[in-house]
Amino acid sequence: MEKLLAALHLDDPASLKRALTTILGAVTLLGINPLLAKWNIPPIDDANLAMVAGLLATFILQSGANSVTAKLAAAKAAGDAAADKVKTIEDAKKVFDEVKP
Amino acid sequence: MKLAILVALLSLPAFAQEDGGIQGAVEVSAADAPLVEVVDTVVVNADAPVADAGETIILRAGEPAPVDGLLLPTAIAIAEAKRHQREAVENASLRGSITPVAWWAIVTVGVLAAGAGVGLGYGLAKLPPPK
Repeated sequence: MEKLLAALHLDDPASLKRALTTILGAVTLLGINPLLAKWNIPPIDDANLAMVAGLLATFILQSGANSVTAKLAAAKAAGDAAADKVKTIEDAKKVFDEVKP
Repeated sequence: MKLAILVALLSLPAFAQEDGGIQGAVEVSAADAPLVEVVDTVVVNADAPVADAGETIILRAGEPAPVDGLLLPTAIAIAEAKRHQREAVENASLRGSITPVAWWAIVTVGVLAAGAGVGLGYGLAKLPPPK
């Protein structure tokens, strides 16, 4: 289970937050009107549901974009740090040895 | 054998030499060595067809080149190694952020199976009772 969560990146809090928001949003939007009808309360207008869905989608997309930006920045920082360690010809040789086909 | 020295990176001003020596990467054949001036400590690039990667060679005027292949002066070799290292680490870092296709397939099949199960159960529950 942990492996599955890790593979789907649900071990990442930001990713888990988006997944939970998606699931809870879908369940709420799909189930709210039947539930209201059961309690004899007038249903929510489709336009209002669409507006809430749009807000949820905006939040999820924005959160995803932030995560991508953060991951790219982290990868770049890691790459720069690794490159900074190559200072001498001996270091360069080691790198060439590693990439040798 | 014909003399053939390819100066590939002559345009790099950072590696210009005052004594007019060869700058940048040079592709050099062992038989073409007489044209090679004093250059620098060089490291053979990993893509070189003949030489061992990482071999350090010092070329002097008139000396035969010890190997065929692409030779890189130290500064360029280090810059190339930095680039290799940066790309390798960045790729490794980003690769960990990608969900493998197999997991997507498993999840997709699971969701479809669950949906089919729910639909089937709902349909069966809605069937009129047998008379």
